[in-house]
Amino acid sequence: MGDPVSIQRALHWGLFCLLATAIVFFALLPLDIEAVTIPGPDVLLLLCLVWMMRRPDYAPAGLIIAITLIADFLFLRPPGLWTLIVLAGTEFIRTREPGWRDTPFLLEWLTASVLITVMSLAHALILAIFVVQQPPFGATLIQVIMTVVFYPIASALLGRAFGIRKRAPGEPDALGHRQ
Amino acid sequence: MARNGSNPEQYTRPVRRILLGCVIVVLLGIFLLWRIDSPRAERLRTEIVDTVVPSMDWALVPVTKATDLIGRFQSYARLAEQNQELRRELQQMKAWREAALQLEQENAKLLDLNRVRLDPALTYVTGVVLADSGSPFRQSVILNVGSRDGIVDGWATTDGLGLVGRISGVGRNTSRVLLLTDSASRVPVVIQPSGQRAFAVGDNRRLPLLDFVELPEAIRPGDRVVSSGDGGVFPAGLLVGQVALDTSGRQRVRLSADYERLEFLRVLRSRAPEPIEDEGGLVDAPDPEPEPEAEELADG
Repeated sequence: MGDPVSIQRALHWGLFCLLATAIVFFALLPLDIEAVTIPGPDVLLLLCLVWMMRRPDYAPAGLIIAITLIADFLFLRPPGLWTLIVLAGTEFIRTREPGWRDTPFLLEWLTASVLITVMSLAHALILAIFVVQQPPFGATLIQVIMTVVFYPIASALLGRAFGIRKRAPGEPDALGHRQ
Repeated sequence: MARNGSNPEQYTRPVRRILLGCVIVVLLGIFLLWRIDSPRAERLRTEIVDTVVPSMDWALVPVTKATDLIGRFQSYARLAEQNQELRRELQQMKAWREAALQLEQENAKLLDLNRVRLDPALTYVTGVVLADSGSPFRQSVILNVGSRDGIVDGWATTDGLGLVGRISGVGRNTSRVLLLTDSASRVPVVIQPSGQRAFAVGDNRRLPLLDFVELPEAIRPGDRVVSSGDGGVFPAGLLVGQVALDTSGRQRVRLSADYERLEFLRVLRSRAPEPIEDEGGLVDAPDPEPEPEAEELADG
């Protein structure tokens, strides 16, 4: 465990867990108990997507599943379903990993927007098929828009404050491979 | 370049696929289990909340207080204005206090005359709000009292003045309060003084909707809304709020409970009313005798 590759990996996993815990913690704070008309962005989803676009090698699927599943239980969502959809979305990004490094930001944002929209629609559709009571469609749509709008902010924050940037050519990945 | 013959990825990839497949099946299983056996899955959820939230307790309260403090500093800006407002309100309150004192004396006299014993069952447990639902689509808070303190599902919760919601989900150390604004909340209410019965239906807005009103024209904005006790879930006569009209002209309830500052909540201990099953011992079953009597009468 002493080699720099393992230390780097452990640090990144720790940072991911820390950020996710902080997001859940601040969502649970009883600050705005009054019902709001405009729901905010889904910050946890933003974290997963932005991180996955930047450093998929430092975001193992197991971590994403565990965190999203706990959030499912805590945030009163139907457990399991949203985790499954987030897993599908992040794995979609992961399988196209080498391509993201050369993609301009606007295109990346567009891809993420489409992905967020498809994921939310799939969630709403499956809930509708299983006849589960769900929030009004307008509110879900507003949340999708908010999440899309906050994507550049989240990516700038992760890049500037926490150094999660796209891998430069020649930089080793989590396993120490250069590519 | 690095992807040469000895790349470990060619062995890990199939294993990873199988693992992911298993996880997907498990997740689907959890979702289906929740859909099929919701009470059991919700109990699991309550247990998870019961372990996670109290462990954050030490941080939740100080951070909330600190954030509140910032909000209060901002309100210093309009201190003079507030002062003026408060003085005016105080004046009104004094008038009301006078009226209340007189009524209290009168009430005490009448109770004494009647020898009324107040319902001893209406006591309460006070809990601190630890966390909210964390989702913009669900309106609920988590209290730091649970089955350990004798909390039972369905009990009414107030903030001392108005109804806040009801207990829905009890863990050992925590319990969840479903707020009146949640889209799953339906509370039978009665509107005073017209006596119209209705439902206060939460729809994720600040003011719950009044639904199933028989005569909407008999209700005016400002009328008092109290719980009616229909259905036996809530005790009757708890203050809910006042009728208000929204921009599209629908009748809603402006809640008396201060949802901006929910800090301590009272959980009212209420016992289910005793169900009446038989016709009661006082009224006898109809006598099979009267017929001969009638004949006798006819003979006589």
